[in-house]
Amino acid sequence: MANAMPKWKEWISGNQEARQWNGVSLLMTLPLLVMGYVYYGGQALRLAVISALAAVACELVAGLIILRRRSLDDFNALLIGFWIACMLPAQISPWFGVAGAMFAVLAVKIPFGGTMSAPFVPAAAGFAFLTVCFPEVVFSYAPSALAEPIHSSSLAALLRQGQSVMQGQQLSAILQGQTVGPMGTGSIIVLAAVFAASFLIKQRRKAALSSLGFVVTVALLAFLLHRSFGSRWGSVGMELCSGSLLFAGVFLLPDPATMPERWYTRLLYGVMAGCVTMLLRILGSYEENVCFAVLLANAILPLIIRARDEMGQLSEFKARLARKKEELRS
Amino acid sequence: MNQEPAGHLEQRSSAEKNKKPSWTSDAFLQNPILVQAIGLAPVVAAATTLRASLIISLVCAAQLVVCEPLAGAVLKKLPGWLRVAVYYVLGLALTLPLLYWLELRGDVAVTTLGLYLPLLALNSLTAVRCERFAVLHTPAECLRDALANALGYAAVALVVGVIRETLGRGSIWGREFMSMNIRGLWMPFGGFLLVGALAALLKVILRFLSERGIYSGADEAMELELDDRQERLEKTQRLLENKEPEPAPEPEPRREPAGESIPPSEPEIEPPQPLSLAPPVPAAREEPDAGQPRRIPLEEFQEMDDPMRIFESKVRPRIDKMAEQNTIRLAEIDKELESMLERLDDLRP
Repeated sequence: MANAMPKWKEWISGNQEARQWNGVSLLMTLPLLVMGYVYYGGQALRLAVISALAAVACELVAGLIILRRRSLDDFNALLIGFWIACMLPAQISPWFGVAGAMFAVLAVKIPFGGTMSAPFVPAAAGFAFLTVCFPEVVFSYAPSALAEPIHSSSLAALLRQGQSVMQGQQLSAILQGQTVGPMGTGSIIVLAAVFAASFLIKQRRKAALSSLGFVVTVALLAFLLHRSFGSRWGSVGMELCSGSLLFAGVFLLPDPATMPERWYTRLLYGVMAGCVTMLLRILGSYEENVCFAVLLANAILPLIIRARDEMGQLSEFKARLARKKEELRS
Repeated sequence: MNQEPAGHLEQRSSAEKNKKPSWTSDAFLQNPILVQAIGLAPVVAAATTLRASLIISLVCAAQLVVCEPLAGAVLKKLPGWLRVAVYYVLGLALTLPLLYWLELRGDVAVTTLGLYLPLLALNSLTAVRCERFAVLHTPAECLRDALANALGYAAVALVVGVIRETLGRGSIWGREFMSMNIRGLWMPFGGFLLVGALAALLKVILRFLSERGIYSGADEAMELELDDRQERLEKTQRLLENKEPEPAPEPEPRREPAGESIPPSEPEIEPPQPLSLAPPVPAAREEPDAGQPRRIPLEEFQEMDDPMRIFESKVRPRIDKMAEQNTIRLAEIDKELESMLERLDDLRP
């Protein structure tokens, strides 16, 4: 056949949109992994690589058995593994990363049809699974080997106790990631730089609206319902820098499969996730609840879209009727 | 309250009446939990250990074995609304002594099962099996059906209990043999995931066996459902044939409103029909020699279950038709409005 596609092209022919999106996400994730390596050494990198390999293996096998097609070419499995590892403590056994990645791929992604069909963000579901099953392990962070952390507890734990540490030199240390916390989500400066760099891409600019809505809502609620005994602004800073909040806002929330199309629905999506995050942080029992908030936002989003569509149809019908009346009157 | 008229049992389809109890069908193929999703709550929420699963299975089996033959022998003479209440009273009479006995012994299962042990008295599986099967069959057939369903229920509950205890606590029957502690499996979400995985596994196994011709159970179930649908189709056709066609009224000349163009050959407005996702059944009158309703072949029946096919052939035309009808309705509203405005103009001094 003259027009037969080469084998290598067949492998990467489909899923163009997902591949493009995930490729950029992968590039954005790499600096976080480098920071994890710098702060925690080889164990952090080992955790990330093993989690990613587990996700890839699960996707390869389950994709061929259940979906009956190759779905590896969109890099989504790699991302799932890396993202779950980023939210875990560096010293944790890689088996936890494997368990989270397996759950994300086998229970959340593949049964619903793959990358662009999953109703929930798989990495958020994988981390939520680990949080529910192994809360003691997932939130027991070890201090960094390179830079001595300013406090022995994580920022999220300090916030739960009502303590404030956002003062003077501590602020710069926190922004650099010299805190006790997850492996790849602590470095706020790198996260902010990555987020800013993502604005260079048009697709990402559109998606950033939900991230901005999320961060602004969390900041606003943290200001109004401040949990620390210090100043309100200190509470806002601690809320934003603690746990995986900014990471979830930059990476998990703008998922192409779950993101709404219209700008105002995106904004609403981010605002909703922010509200749920703060509610869960104040009322919830776990140290970090942002993944549950993302999952809840994923669940509520289709209802919002349906309501919007129905309201749109109704208003269109009413407008048409009003036009007719006017025509008849005139 | 829903009161069934006398002789209501005769109105049930003969497919239901002729259905014979089958061990493979009731316990495996039409498993109450994995296929019919009946009595799911105790298994998902409370079957976290082997012991708890065993208690749930035994209570469920006792209720089925007592209630079903009783329904087949005596209770079917009662009206439907009263029968369901009697099933629950019987369930309570069977469950409460067990609960009392377990509490007297200080059994740990009382803590494990929690609220779900007294709630087992109101087991939906018992009510469903009694109403669907027992009231239409003899007590001996009911007993066999009860045992088959209890077996199917117990099999799934025990498998779920064993997996959740082994992976969730690293123990079997309370004896710890490995350090495993996946807390998520104790929770209802773990139960749901496990039941979902088992249901998928059952489907895969059945498809595999059916494709290789090793097991024809899937075809048997399909045949049963086919019989049922065939019978419903025949009943509908009989009703249609017996109904006298009403003389069509003379269509009034429709005056087209301004701005709305309706072709003169527009069909008359029909009352909107409710959307139905039931697979399209080809009408028997399409057959040239349709003296008897056509028997749908199994392959065609299986094809009819394809959701996209159903959507394209059944749902989409209805949606198009409804959209068309709405346009016509809008035109009618306009027409009414116009006439009202005219009358208003006439009334003006």
